[in-house]
Amino acid sequence: MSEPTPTASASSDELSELELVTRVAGGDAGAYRVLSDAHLGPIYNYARRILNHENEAEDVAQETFLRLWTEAQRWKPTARLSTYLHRIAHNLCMDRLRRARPHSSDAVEALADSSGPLRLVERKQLAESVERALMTLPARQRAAVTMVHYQGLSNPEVADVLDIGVEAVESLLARGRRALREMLALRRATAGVSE
Amino acid sequence: MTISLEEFQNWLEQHGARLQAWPEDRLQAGEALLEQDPKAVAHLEQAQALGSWLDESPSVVVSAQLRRRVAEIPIQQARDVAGLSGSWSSWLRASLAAVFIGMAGLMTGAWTAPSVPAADNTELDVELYWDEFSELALAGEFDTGGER
Repeated sequence: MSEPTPTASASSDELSELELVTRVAGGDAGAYRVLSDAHLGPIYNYARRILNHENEAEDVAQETFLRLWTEAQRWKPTARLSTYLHRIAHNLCMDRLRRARPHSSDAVEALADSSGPLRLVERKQLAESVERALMTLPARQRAAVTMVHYQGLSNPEVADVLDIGVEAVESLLARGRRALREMLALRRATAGVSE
Repeated sequence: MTISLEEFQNWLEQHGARLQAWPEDRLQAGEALLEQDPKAVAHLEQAQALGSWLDESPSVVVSAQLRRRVAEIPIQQARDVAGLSGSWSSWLRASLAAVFIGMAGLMTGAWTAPSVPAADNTELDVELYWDEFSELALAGEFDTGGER
C-alpha cells in the first residue's frame, strides 16, 4: 500500500461533510486533512476540559482522528460529524477517567493580553478558578455543560453524544449550572470579604 | 403560555442564558415573563454572569506537534499496514520454503532408499542364548552331564 497523498480537490467549501467523510472512508488523505483541520481544535479542547490534562487530551484527540481515518464508514449522516467525533472523544475521556489516575491539573496556557502582566495574572487566576469549578462537577454534568457552553452543541446533540434522552441532558445541565452558580456566588462573596 | 418564576429559572438552567437558543414556545413565554417580572430579569442576569465567568476559561491553541501527529495518521497507518504485510509475507515465504524442503526430503528418501528385507533376528537370539548358557555351564552352574 502506497502512502496516501493529499489531493488538491478536497476543500471544505467545495465538498459537503458527507462527501468528505465518504472520501475519507475510501482512503482520501486530502479529505481527511480538511476534516481534521476543521475539528481538531474543538475536539482537543473538549478532551482537555474534561480531563484537565494536556498530554491525555492530546492522546484522546489523536485517537479520535485515528478512528475517523480507520472507521469513517461508521459515521451516519443523521448526525453532524462534530457530534460523532465528540461521542468518540467523550467515550475515550470517560475510559480514562474510569482508570482514575491522580494528577495535578495543568497550568492554564498563557493568555494573550495586551493590558499588562497584572491583568494577565488576574485572568489566569480567573481561568484556573473556572477550570477548578468545572472539575468539581461530576463527569457527566461537566461533559454536558462543556459541550453546550464551549462546544456549541445543542441539547439534542449532547443527548446523542451521551446516548441519553434530551430530558436527562436538561437535568444534567440544570444541576451542573446550579452548582456552578453557587460556586460563583461563593467566589464573589469570598472576594468581597477579602477586599 | 404563562409560566412561573420557578419555571423560568429551571429553563435558564436547562437551556442557558442565551434565550435565542431556547425552544420557540419557551422563548416566547420567557420573554413575556421578563417584561412583567423584575425578578425574572435578575435571574437572567445571574445566568449571564455564570456564562461570562465560564468564558474566562478560553479555548487552548492546539500545539504544532499534535497537529502534525494527527495530520500524519494516514501516512503512519499506511506504513504500519505495509510493515505488517511485509513481515507476514516474509513469514509465509519462510514457512512455504520449509514445507517444500520437508516434502522434497521425504520424496527423495522414499525414491532412493534401498529395499531392505525385514530383519530376522532368530539366529542372533539363539546364538546369544547359547553363548550365555555356555558361560554358565563353564562356571558350574548347570549340570551338563559331563559332556561338552
